[in-house]
Amino acid sequence: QHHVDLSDSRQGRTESVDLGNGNDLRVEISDALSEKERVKFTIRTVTSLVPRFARPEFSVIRTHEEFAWLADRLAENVEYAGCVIPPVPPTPDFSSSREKLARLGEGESSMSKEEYDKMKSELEAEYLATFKKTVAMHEVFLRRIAEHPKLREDDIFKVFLEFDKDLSVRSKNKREMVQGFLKTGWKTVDDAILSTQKEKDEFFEAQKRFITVFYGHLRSALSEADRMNRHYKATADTYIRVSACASACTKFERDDGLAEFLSSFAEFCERYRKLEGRTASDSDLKLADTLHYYVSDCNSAKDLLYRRARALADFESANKELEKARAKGKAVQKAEADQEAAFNTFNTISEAARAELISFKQRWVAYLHKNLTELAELQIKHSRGQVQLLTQTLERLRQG
Amino acid sequence: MEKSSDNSEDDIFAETNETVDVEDVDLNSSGAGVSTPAATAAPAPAAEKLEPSAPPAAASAPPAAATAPADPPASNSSSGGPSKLELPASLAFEYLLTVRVTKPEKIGDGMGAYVAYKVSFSTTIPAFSRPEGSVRRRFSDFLGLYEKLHEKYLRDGFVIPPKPEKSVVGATKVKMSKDSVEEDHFVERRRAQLERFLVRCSDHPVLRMDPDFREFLEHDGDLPKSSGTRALSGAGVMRVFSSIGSSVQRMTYKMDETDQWFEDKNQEVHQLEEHLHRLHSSIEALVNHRREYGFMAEQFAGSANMISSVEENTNLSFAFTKLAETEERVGRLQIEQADSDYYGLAELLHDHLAMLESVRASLYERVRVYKTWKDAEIALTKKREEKVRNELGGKADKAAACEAAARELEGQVERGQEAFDKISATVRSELERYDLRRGYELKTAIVASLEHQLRQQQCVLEAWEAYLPEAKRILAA
Repeated sequence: QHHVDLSDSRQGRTESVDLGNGNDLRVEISDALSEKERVKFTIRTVTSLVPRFARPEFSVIRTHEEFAWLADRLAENVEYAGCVIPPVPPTPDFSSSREKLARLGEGESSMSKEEYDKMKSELEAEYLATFKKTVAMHEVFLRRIAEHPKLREDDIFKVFLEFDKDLSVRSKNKREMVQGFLKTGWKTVDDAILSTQKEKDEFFEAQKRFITVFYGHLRSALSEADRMNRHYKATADTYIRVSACASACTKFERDDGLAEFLSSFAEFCERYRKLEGRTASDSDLKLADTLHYYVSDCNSAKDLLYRRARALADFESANKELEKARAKGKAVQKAEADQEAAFNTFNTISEAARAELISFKQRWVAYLHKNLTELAELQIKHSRGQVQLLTQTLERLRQG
Repeated sequence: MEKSSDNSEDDIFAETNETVDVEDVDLNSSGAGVSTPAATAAPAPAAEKLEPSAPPAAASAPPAAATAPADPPASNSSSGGPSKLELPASLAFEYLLTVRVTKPEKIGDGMGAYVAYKVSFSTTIPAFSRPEGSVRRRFSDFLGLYEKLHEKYLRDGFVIPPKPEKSVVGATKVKMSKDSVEEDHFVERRRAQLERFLVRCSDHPVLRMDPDFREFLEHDGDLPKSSGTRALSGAGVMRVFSSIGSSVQRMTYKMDETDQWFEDKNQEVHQLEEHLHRLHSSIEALVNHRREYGFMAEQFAGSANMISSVEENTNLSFAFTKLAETEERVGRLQIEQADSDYYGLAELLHDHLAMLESVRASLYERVRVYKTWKDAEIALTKKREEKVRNELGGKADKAAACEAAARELEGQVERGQEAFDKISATVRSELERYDLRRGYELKTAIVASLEHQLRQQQCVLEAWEAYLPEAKRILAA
């Protein structure tokens, strides 16, 4: 079991670009508990919308499956067909941390106690960081819903926040899995529709182009950023080994000068790796995580374009039906009604989508601005620290 | 392997040596750290055609020495003079000898092809026929030199610098490949090893005066082909057999060690090997991770550029372009750092591990001499007993013969003891020298690595400082 103290990271942990709804509905994850295979999030809501909600302040405990369930319900709802639905947060995954810890345990006999302790505490810090990240992602998901003018009114969302018992959301059974596959199956059909549909509207034409090409590049950038950061972190961690080896050498060294030198070097390695480690994890947080999130969000935007494309296709087939009906002279009224309904659906979605996509872009420009600026600032800060440490160490090694 | 454009070296060999070789630093400091006028004056005159090497690391050593002109000779003590990094006085020489190995060049094509290296020297040693010069030598020439030195000097207990490694796979690749030889990692690694080998010889008081060594450096034109060095030659096969034999012998003969110094030393060598080995693999791991990191950063830069090309928002697009530039620069700097640490630290440690093998070989020679001496003593005792038995048995002639043989054996025992004392003194002085050298080289290499890292890190800092305003501008009108 792992109880996590989130108080230190609350400040600026999650981004919320205010969409002008003020602070009448504030949602945060105040606590999180990791037990065995699942994480339990405590969601605390503070609101002034009292008639809608029973109390001004309340908390519930939710698991990740319940978040996924909420995301699915919102995505299915045709009312929100014209909205960019916030992407479901990624499943909490500590498997890599667990693997590393296991591997460390196996190698325990071949390293000094000091080295082992340092690597262990480094891994524990990593685990904690992963944990905080998953909390942040889940929180951002809820906040976006709370800030969206339409989604915040959703009843299922209300239930999610308020209902103080288990939502009895079992993990996907077979039928739902099949439906899930169908959905992805639809995606490829959607892709085909998207690419072949004649688009008269320039705005959407541009959006389509942008999303499809952009998405591909984003994903490569993301996987490279991840690998880059992983190696960077590995570099930082390897300094632990170097430090331990240098320390070990001092123990039998006859020459006092050399022993002292190596000891200073070992100390330097230990301090330096902390700085490099922090640089790596900030790069991870501000760059890779931002890209991760961007990818998920673009996915949601893509879904929106798919829905619109489907609506357009429906409208076009309704048109054809109407023509056929008129040609045959049969059931014309129904066909007209169908066509009008299809047109309305399409139109509503399209108009809503237009606004959503514009605000999507605005939100992302702001988000990238914030994160890239913070990335640069943190890299500068750490670099300065490294330069300083190197300068000091060199002086010490030279002068004694 | 790209050339670093960061270090502005006016060294004429700069274009093939991208990283600071530790030996370069040695050579410079050996002039600066000692107060004898000949040595301190040396770098200038010798520097006419052959500038003694890379500025960056050297630039830090002279100033340190310059602030302490009246430095006490024992600059290695922990009470320490102003700089702990000077070459210990006992390692410096009155006459200078500088050697370099550069400009690898592929000669010929296909399986008959080989790489020729330029070997240059600069010296004030009177025995040399001229103060400087250069020749072209190939790998088998180096091996030939090693074999000669090994044969001549090992039996007296000298620590012979380790033989440059053969690597059939690497060598064949170079023969068959069409790539430029200068850019090849294998070739660079070999060049550095060959240079280190020659430098170690030139830093050894006895080896540097050896006529074969001198000929290797001075003789214009090709050396007689040392076919004995080819792996599958008869001599090569014999060598394999003899080396197996000697290691078996090492295990079976147990010397009665009366000298505590040697008792301790044997222990130490063992420990040192273990720890250096660990240090070496940890540094290799560090270098590999850093290289991967740099490489991935460059990849990422590519993708970021693609993103920028599709992005419609001009400020954002520009920010991504600049991010790509920054990460590419950072990636490049990391790769350079990794390369520098590989050649400067990892390969150095690898070399010291090989040196420890040579150290062991010397220690073993001493054991062999001891055995010879003790065997003679045993034979003498037996002869004397035989003589007494003959006398008691009334065999006067045989007794006389034993007396004669015993007298000869006495001579052998005496010579054996002398040889043992002599080799013990040699081995001891060699090992003490080696300890000092190892300490000096390790310290210098670490300092050079940190200095390099400092420079790189300052560039990284500049890169991010340049990026910050671009990121801020994303929201500008």
